[in-house]
Amino acid sequence: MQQYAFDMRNISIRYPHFAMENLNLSLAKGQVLGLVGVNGAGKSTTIRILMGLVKADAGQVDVLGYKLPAQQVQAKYDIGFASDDMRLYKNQTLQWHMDFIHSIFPNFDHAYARDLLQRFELIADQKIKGLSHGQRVKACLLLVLARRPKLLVLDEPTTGLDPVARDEVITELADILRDDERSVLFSSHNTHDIEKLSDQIAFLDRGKLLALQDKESFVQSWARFRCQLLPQAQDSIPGAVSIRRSGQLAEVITDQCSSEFAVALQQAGFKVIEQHRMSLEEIFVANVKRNR
Amino acid sequence: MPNTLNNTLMIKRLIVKDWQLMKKSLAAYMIGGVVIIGMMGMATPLMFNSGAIMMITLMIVIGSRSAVELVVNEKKDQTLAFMMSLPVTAEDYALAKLGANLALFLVPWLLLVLGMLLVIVSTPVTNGVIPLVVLVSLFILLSYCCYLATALLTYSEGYTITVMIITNLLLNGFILWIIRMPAVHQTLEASTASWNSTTLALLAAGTALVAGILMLTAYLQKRKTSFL
Repeated sequence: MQQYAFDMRNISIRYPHFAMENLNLSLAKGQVLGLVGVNGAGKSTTIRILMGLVKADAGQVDVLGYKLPAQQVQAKYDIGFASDDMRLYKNQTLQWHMDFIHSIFPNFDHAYARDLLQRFELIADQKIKGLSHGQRVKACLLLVLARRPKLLVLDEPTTGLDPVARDEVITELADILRDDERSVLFSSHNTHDIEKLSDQIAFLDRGKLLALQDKESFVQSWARFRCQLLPQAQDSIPGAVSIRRSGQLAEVITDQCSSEFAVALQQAGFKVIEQHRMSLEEIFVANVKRNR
Repeated sequence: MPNTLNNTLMIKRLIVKDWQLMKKSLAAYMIGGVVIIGMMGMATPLMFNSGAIMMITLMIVIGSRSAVELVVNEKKDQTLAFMMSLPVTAEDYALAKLGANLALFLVPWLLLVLGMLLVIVSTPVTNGVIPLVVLVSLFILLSYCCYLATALLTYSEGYTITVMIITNLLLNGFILWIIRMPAVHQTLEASTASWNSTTLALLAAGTALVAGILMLTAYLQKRKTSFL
């Protein structure tokens, strides 16, 4: 039987300008799931429902064996949550925050916290208001990681960071997330960050789950073909996500890349000139356009 | 690990946390309160009246600071997401906020009111002003409950400040209204505090309103489905 870190079933929620209908999303224990979506896609709403902070209109949420939002108190002892809009108390030091978290989570790992202080180049006695945005993000991550949660939920933690700080955070996270016991949900609109960290990737747009696959499957199944149009070129090709024509040339994108698709292209009057693998960002954009 | 129905340990921790955040300001306010009570204790009309105005101002400052600092700013400064990531429900959080704010206001408010009463009974100031002092202090407490409820239910700086302005304006009207009341006015110069049916009715109504606002706030908080 599959052991889930979380399992969201038929989740629906409606706001005046946003609706999520029948979202199904789950994460196996020990996996890292990257949730990709543009701003307003529903990533934060999904995470807030998962954290019990927002009550869905319909559906069922199980996190680490607990029903949410009813059992959110028990669940939150094992969930570490950090988001880009999360701030610490500016007039207090990082040490004060560490002591506060320790008073709530007795298994707060001080040795690990000290290690993270060094890796993130943070000073425990420095007040939060004196930290840069990148340092504040790192401080939040330190407080979350030193609790050693079973499920780590990171809502756009790299948003607003400069490229150097983002690389530092992602590199450290990649190193930290090697722990096979820990399950991670990582949301971002930055596909590069997601690609570096995730085992599985989910695309979300306008409250709908567009796709959920492991990273390798995405990269292997999606491809872009540059073709010369033959006189008998047809209007559509089975398996093509999009066909963009420009004079005698065409660009065809597929999510069913295989030798059979190349044959199908030829038969449809598209002579393949070049074939390219697509980046995760390109796959995401193609996915969104197909579903809009 | 506490269960959902009994998260009092976490609620206490959140209250203690708010105390820690406010303790320096609170100490400063209490020093200010002692100075003002000292002024009132000089028992000259000028010093007593000046002290009374300063005391009203101090109470308003204590209340508005705690409501803005601990509730509105928690949303504005985005520390609310950090708090809600902890093992608490929205209800636990709201209860902790209500408890912390009430404690942070009620303790200094009570000490300041008792300090003023002590000055009145132990100096030549006429004890007849006691009902007036108590009722005005109660009105300040009621005002505090109004803008605390607004802050807790809306987390809006604009709404909270609007309610603060309205209640402060009403306070002026209330003082003028109550002083002109024969039941209060005629006993101000008396050597003993004179509680009559009018002042007792005002005291009971004020206390009931305070309790009603707090209970309504707790009830409305419980009905919220979205917290961030």
